[in-house]
Amino acid sequence: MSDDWASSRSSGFAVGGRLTADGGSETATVPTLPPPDESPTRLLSLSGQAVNQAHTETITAMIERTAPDVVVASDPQAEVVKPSLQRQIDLEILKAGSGMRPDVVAVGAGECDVIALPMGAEPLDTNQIARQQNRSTDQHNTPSNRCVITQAVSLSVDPYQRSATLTGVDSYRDRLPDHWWGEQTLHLSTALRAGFTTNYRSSTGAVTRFVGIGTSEADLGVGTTTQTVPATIIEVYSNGAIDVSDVDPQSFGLRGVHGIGATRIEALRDAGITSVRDLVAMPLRTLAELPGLGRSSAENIQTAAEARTTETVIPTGDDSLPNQEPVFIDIETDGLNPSTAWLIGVLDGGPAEGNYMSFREQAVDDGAHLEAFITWLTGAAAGRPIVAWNGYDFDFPVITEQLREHYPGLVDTWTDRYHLDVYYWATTKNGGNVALPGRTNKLEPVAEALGWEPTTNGIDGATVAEIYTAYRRQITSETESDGAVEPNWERLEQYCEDDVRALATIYEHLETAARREPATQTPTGENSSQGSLADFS
Amino acid sequence: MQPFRINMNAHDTRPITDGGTTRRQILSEEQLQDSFPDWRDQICHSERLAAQTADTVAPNTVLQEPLSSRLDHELYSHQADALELLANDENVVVTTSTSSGKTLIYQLQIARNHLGNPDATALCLFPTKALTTDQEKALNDGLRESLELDTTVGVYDGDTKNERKRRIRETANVILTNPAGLNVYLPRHNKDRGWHRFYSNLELVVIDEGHEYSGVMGTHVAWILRRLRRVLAHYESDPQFVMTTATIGNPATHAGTLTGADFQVIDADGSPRGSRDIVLWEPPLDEEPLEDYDDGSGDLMEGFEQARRSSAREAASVTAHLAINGMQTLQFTTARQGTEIGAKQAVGAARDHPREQYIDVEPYHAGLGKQKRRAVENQLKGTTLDAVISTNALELGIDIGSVDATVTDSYPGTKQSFWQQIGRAGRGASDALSVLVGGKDAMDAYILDNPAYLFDDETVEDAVVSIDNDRVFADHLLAAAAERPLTAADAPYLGGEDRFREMTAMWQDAGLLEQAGDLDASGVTYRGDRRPQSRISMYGTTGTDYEVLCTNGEIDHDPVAKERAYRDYHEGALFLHAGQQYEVTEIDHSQPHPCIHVQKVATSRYTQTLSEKQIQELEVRDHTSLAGGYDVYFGTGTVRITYGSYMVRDFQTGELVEGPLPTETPPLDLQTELLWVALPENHLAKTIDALEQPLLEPTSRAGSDRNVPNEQSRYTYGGGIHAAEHGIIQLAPLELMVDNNDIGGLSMLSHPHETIAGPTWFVHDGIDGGIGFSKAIYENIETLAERTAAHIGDCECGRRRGCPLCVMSEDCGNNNDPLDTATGAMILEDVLGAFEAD
Repeated sequence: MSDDWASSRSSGFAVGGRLTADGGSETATVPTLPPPDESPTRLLSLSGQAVNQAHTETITAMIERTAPDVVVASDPQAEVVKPSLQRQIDLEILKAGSGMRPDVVAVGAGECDVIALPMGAEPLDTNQIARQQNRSTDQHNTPSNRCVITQAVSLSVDPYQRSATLTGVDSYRDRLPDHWWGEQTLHLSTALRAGFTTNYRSSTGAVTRFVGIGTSEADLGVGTTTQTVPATIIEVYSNGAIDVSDVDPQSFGLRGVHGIGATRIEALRDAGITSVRDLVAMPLRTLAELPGLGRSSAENIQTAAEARTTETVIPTGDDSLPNQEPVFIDIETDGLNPSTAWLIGVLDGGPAEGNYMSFREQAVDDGAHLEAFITWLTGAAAGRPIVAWNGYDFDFPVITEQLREHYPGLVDTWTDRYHLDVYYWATTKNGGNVALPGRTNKLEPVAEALGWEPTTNGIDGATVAEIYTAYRRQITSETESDGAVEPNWERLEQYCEDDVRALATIYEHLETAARREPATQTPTGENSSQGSLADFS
Repeated sequence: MQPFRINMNAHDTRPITDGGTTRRQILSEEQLQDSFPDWRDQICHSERLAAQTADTVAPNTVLQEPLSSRLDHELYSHQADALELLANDENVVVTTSTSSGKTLIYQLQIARNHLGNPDATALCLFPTKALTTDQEKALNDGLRESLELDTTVGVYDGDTKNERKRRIRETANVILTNPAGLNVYLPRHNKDRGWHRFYSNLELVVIDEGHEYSGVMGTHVAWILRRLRRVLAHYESDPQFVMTTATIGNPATHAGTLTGADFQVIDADGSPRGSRDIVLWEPPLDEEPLEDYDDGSGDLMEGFEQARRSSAREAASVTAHLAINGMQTLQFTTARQGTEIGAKQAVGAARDHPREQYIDVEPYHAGLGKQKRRAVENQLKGTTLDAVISTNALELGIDIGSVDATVTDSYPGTKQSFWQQIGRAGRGASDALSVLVGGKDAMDAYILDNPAYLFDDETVEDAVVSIDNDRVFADHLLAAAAERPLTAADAPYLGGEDRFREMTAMWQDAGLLEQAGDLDASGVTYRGDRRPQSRISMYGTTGTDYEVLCTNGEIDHDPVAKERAYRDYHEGALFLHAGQQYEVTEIDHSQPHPCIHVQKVATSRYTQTLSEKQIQELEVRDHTSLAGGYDVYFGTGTVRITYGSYMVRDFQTGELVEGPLPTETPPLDLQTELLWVALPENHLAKTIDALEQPLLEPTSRAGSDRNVPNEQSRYTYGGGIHAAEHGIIQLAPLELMVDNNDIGGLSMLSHPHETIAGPTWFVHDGIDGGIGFSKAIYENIETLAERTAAHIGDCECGRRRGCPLCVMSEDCGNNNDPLDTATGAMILEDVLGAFEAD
């Protein structure tokens, strides 16, 4: 894992908390990964607040780019989503808790129905839904999957009782037909925090999984920033695996250009600049005269915008990259504040042809893979720089700490090596050395903008950590170890490999850029007409 | 208690006189009769504290070479005692007086550690940044110059530049910071080799001015220190603790609650002191404004303000008198009075003095610009100023040299503040003079009546801190998880087995801790948004702080906890901050960033908030059963307070200008800790039967207040139980270092809870989740009831409805109605009788 997860929360099929009606506890199991190569049903949950705060072009750009099958309106201000967007986009916009009839959308060739519950407490009329979909009520004709969206199931946290409980489940349950309680139905609530997943066990013993796709009003203490999540992508797979990730609508527009904040965007808009393309086309002299901008900041934001539109890395600084061929690494852990680095993925060579190696622990909490990794570093890879994305903040210190725990004698060997965090080098060192083309400066968006494509789907660092943690718990627990099922290590390693290849892709572009003279302004307005989609990348 | 020490050479035996005349003659009977305007025998007590010589020990008895020979002076006995305990691996809490050389203790311990292991590190926590800077210099002077050691000392806080921070992390032997800083630096322990070095070698943690950490702040500090110890355990560091504190009644317990470790107490002070005269000055009481109140025609607050004015005026006259007699005087004034007004009053009083004279007086408070403050500090060090009127900003840490005399307008609330203020006079070899002008509330009255309270060793307040607040715990648990994954081994540091497991399970259920993790099987990681530490506020327990924004200028105001925002900052509220008056123009309760908009105003008014209160959902945690159907309970409950209306009053006269006006403030629900005293079912009838005095006539306002009984016997008894509740809350600070602004009460003739058969009164924490105040009162209820009963009975007002000196409180949401001291004394005596019979 190479980046922060604030924008990437995900959950596999059966993982989840132990919220139960009777206070008992439900054992979590290992999350399920999506079937390889399946394309999921994709929902975009969007708050009215996000719609109000962003330029319409930005929102439409996001929708175009993220390509959801359906949009779900969520709070705050869920009621404004549909009126604001229905004429701009060619997608159904669902909203739970309003209207007299359920909103229903059939995705794909009848693979998945997405149903938003209407207002009130009336039981759902499934015949009516079938009629809405022009289907017979015959069971054979029902979709293989179903997502039901409510706004009435929420979480309540009471630290004084030391308890967290789901509320609204019983009345929600009363509205759905019995045969919707199988594994083929996914229960989504816009009143639960995006990415939150829990298995709810009713008093009868039935287990139902609820997934949050909105904003929670529960008292989550210091565990969440008070900012609401403006938009979330929910990917639903046929085997019940889901993947939830946050997206920031602003990153699809001008605000997504590095160096443009709330004040500057006002100045730009006043000057008639509403898109990244407009910004690139603006003569530098005119741009530099706008309020709050001088020549150098005008140059900076224009370079950043150009990197975005041309999908290239543009040099802005003087620092060089090491001469020797680097070793690319990426670690997988048990969380962002981890206690292990159970997998160290290494790429020896370039993004395409390089040789990928996994140093993975062979038994839980056995550190032998660390030693093997250091042995390789000091042997075959002696003297080569070690490169990671966001490594100064994560991969490097985590490995140091792990070595301290398992092989204190190897700590110096490791810390004395030359480490390079190319994320830091690119964005921060001496004011930053390049403008990056990604919508955000996270590894995958940057690499994607440069042409890299992942080979794995529906999986991210958080999922991997969760799978590992669940497995480790089973193995180390006295009661569960017999039934422990090994995760699909290959899939997890493949994910890690994707990321080191992404890193190598970026590095290649950085090297090319570092050899060029920095900040040579390309004549504006000449090459800015290419790639309309790229404007919003 | 030996309350005061002068930092001077142990061998200094100069006589403590001033040109042959002791300075106290200026306040002699003849002098005052001669020259004090309208002399009315205001001095009710004077105490002379004799000089005391030092008790010293040769350094080589406790220190090894080369330290002992490099130290060019003897050690005071308490310093030697502390060093010996530290050598025996004990943690030490030092409670000796101001300027008794407490710093030297940890300085020498750092030196010893350094000689034993040059990599050894120490972490020193100070309550304020100003103190941190002072101590950096002191430690550098001591360690590097006097002791000739090669130690690196660095201040590490929000003002430290990044480059310097990096150097300090990598090289410093001693890091000085504050607890709020530690809270946000702690998570870096494994991200940075400097921190790793520092924590792995940590041998000493110093907590300076430990008494400052009580209440809300104390709760947070206690959890931050536990998080620190838990991270240190991971590095196998087990440092010793040295805590210094002002004199408190429970040093070992307090230090233990803050850190979770065991402590030995050093309280036998070996430092010398000069002689000192302390005069208690009682302003003549003007009873007239209160008398009208008895028949319901007068307004109580007018009485308050006029009484308060008289103490401020008296203080100004005393300051002027001293200044005219050539004594440079520092006067501490109350927050509301304002230093600017105080300075004007002192100049005016000097003009009215029989020996009419112009005196140079300056105000001083934290709201003045830095330059202005430095100028006043320097003028004080010289002799160009006759007097300074200051807030308690000059109490702590700031070097102004010495003044000849201090005047304290109204008891500052704790002995520790009182002695700190007194300590500003006569530093050095001359004798010192201090005057306490009594203010108009129950605490001041008690002290003027019982001066022994101030001078007696036996009556020292306990510092109150609690780690029982589960909401605060829940937040720090998330912070701890973000520092290192939680495992079963953390339970001793993080709340104990059950509490730790239950709270961890709650956050797993809520998705903020990894649901798939297990405490007993490799641990539980944090899954919430990044940096939870940064969202912990030291000012409240709910995580909801109101930012204070000024619409027509700057305001440097700490964030306001939700409870206080509801009470004190409704639209239209007027308040004084750092010498400037402000009006609240808008309060925005909306999440995520609630804020209070204020504007600077020039007004001669202030506001007073009225409230209604309900208490429900009681749960008993502890119970003291007394004889005869009397019971005292401690537990939790929900207190719903509606601060519904407010009055606007004139600053000088207390006169009602407008009101009651609606506040538009929504009700505030506090889930908090409280105690209740449950009286027998027939207690009302029995008490009224035994009452020798006539029943009280309900006031006209009682008729319009649905919470006040309108029938005479119920009204009278209600007044009694209300008086008992007020009295105990107001006198609690005599026993406990609690801020009675954060304590509330409610008295009722009946309550539906099963534990309450008859009348009852509640005392509750005014902070969500509780901060240990009502628990401490519960534990000390008998002593407090005794003090209160005696005080109510003895109050010189002799009035049924009491006065501000006994049972009236300006914070009363019911406008002090009903109150009856006669019935109140009977109720308290009955409760005490039940204690004795038990």
